[in-house]
Amino acid sequence: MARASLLYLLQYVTGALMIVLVSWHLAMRIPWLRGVESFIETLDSTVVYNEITGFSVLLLLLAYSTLFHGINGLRMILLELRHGRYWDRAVNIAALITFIVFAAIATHSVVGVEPPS
Amino acid sequence: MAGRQGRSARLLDLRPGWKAFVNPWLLRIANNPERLAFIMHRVTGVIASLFLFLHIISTNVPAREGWEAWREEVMNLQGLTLTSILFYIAMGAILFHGLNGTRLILAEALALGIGRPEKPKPPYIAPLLRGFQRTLLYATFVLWIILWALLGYVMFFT
Amino acid sequence: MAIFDARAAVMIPPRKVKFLIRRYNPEEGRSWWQEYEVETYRGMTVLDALLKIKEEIDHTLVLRYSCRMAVCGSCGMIINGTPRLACQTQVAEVASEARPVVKVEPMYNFKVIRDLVVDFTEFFEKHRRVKPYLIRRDVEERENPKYEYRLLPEEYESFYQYSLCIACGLCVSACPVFASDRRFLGPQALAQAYRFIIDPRDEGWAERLEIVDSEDGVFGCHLAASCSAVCPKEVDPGAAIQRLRSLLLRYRLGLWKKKISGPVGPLEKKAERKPLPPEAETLPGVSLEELEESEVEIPVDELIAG
Repeated sequence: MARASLLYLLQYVTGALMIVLVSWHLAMRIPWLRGVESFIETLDSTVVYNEITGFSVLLLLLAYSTLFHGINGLRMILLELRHGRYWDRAVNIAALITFIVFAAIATHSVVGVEPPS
Repeated sequence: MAGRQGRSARLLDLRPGWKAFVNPWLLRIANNPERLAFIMHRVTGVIASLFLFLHIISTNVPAREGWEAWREEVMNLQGLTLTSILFYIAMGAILFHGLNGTRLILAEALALGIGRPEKPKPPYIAPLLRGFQRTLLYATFVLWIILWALLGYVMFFT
Repeated sequence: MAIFDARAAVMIPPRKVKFLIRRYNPEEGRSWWQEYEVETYRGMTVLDALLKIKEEIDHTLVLRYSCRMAVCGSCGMIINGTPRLACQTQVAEVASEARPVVKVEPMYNFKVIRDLVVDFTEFFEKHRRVKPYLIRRDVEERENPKYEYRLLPEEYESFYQYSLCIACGLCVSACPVFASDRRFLGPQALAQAYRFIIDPRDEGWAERLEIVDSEDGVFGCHLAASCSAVCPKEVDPGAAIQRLRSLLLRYRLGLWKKKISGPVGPLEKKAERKPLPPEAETLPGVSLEELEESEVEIPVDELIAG
């Protein structure tokens, strides 16, 4: 496992990054900024498709940093609650696997999206 | 090993365990809203990461099943439904986590707003509890309520 | 918390106060709450009341105390839900006429040996692990020192506060992370690690930084700040840990460099007195030469009589 200081440095850096990116991500759902009437209309398929294709890199960056931040946070709590060589290893491996699986899903939703008919 | 076990059996362990970070009333410590913020940061963090997993799976729907399924999913969020209420709670958790996280990054990673070391003098309140982070903490709570209420307006009344 | 509550000195406690004490008997493995009623007087501390119980009501009550004035740090307890030193807490502060009850428990996050006495082995083990002493590379110089080490007043002020720790364990009993994490070093040990790492006379900072760089070290802290709020000596362990963490992150990025100062060396020889400028005049009747020659006389008897 990597050094704790490196993981926590990443935790703080991703945290700072997310303050910006999540604000942006939430602001995309404010109807008046998008010139539509309601919150649900900002989730319309063409709007969402344009957003995914237009900001794909930002969305992927948001997904990866959020996943890292969240999974590292959960890992931290789990390591604190219980101790033991096997438990520690199991938590670390589970965290790594969860990160890879969800990062793959997130990548697929950005890369594999088709234009709405 | 037997000796150690015998020894620990004779000692009483009053360690509160995980209750310490879900129960803000475990200890009554005056002048310590940071502890409440700590507990809420953890709880909202867990809620936010569970939401994150669901969010990544649900936003995968257009790529996996096509846009028709996506439209059906979005309809669940319209009006007061179980999904929309859970979504709203998750949004509140994320807002608090983000606002409080800003304060934590400043205080923990950059050591800003935690006062400076001094020679203790009456009334003996630690510099950390008088520092700028305390102001930020109050601002966090106020902003959180305002933003969450605004978000409720956007979600349910537009 | 108002550790120093000036009003407490003039407050009068209720005449009779009920003490609810959480007791534990290791032989029977039994833990129970026991009630005592104590007649109070003005200025009575919780420790006074406990000793009164021990002397007059129940001799089997066990507690640890020593100096009775918040210097030794032996009598940490949880009093009405707040970790405090029993000797520093007035009964009048914690009991009121409306609710003349004082609940006393042994400190959380420690193992209880008997009644109110807790086991400090783990606590001192962790304190020892961060090497709480000055480390010098030059063994010869350390063993046979000729001069003292240089320490500027501002450097002194940067860690003076953290060196006031009396190891009473209140911060540890208040810490919510320590409550669930047995391996966490705890606020006391981490604050002491910081105190020695920034001390310019110390050269063991690198090994200490290695020790605290883990999830159970400095990164276990999540700024609940309860330690700073309960500390009876205003050591502020919370701020010390945040500074240590920030310093460690900067150190790993190569942005922090330790300042080390060595022995000061011999003092300069006393310089010759510069002659007074010609326009300077002494008070009438005072001769500078005479003053320098004569011994200092302090009229002690007169001062005492006056």
